[in-house]
Amino acid sequence: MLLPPDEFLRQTFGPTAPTPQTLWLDAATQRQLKTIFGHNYPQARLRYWRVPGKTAWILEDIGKEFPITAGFVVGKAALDSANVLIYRETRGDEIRYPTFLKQFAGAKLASDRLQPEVDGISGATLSVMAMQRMARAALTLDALAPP
Amino acid sequence: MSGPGRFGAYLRHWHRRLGLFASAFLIWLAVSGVLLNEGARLGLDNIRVSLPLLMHWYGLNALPPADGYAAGGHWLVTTSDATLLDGLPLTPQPAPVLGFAAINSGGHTLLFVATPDSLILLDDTGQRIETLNAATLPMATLRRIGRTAEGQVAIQDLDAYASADGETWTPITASAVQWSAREPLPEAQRQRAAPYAQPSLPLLRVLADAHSGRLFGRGGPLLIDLSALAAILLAASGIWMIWRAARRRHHLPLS
Repeated sequence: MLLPPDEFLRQTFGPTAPTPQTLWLDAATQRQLKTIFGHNYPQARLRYWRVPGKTAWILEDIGKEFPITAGFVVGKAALDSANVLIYRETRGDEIRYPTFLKQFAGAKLASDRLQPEVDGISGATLSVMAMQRMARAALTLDALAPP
Repeated sequence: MSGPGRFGAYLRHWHRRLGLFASAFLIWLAVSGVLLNEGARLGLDNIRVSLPLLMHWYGLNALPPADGYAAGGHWLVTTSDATLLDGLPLTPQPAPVLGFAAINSGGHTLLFVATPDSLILLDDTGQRIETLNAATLPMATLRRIGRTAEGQVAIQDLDAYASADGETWTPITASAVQWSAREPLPEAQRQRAAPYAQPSLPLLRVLADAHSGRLFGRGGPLLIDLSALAAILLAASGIWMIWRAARRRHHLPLS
């Protein structure tokens, strides 16, 4: 565990995190997520946290063999930050370094891609791709979540 | 034919024979060596083989689990390949499993699978509703899971909490909980788990054993050693013949 999920919320919202809200992943939402992940997101609902102008999402996706848990903060239709919370793969954990993660700050969705693009890391390609997919999902979900 | 000439013909003769003997092994060693070196790049490190004959050769047999977790009429069983709910694999696979609990919430059965860092909420068909973690639980890590006398799900790391729906949690006394524990698996559940308990080995392990000869029993490494010796003799005799030919071309007297 690189950053406990509750610590991620503390860093994002301060000592008192807002009450989590629930987003049910209905068929239409799953269709959008399927274009990102290549499969339905394997849950029926997701919790997220919202304060004015900001939402936080904790998502999971498989890098090579095991799920990577990551936290994303979305501002005005753009990512504020990305964090790797739990990394379970044996290789590729270079994605946890700030030099990689800071590339996500300011990234937006443009034609289903992150803009600006996020550079890969040699030897951690699958983990990088998982982070890119989750970042796109966070931006998609932020747009779908009720205000 | 002079003495050195006879020796040269004798050497060429055995060089060819050695080459024929060693060629098949050297090609195999080269191919398997490249596959071992490039295994990760080629994605071979993710592949497991479960060919029955090969598993039998290694002395590995299917071993269905002897126990599992029971709750609400459902069985959660962990095998070498999968985590099964009533004989069907959960996707994605939760691991490692600490316990299992079932509650009735609003007329629906909710199933909870505890792992060290999360609580997985399923419906009674095994569909994942949600994964709860430190951000949505009153604790960062879990030690055990159970059910209270009032029919609530309970979890504990240091302090114990209970919930009637998996959303709101209240502190409780740990002693008032029936904690989930492994129980002997009924024969029917063992049979349902058997297809997911087939032995398997990483492909790279099999390749490494084939490369070293160990895959072929006690004689295998000896055969590979002989191939290596043949390769050394081939190299030495080849160098010798090249050297002799070079000397002959330069009209130098043969020693």
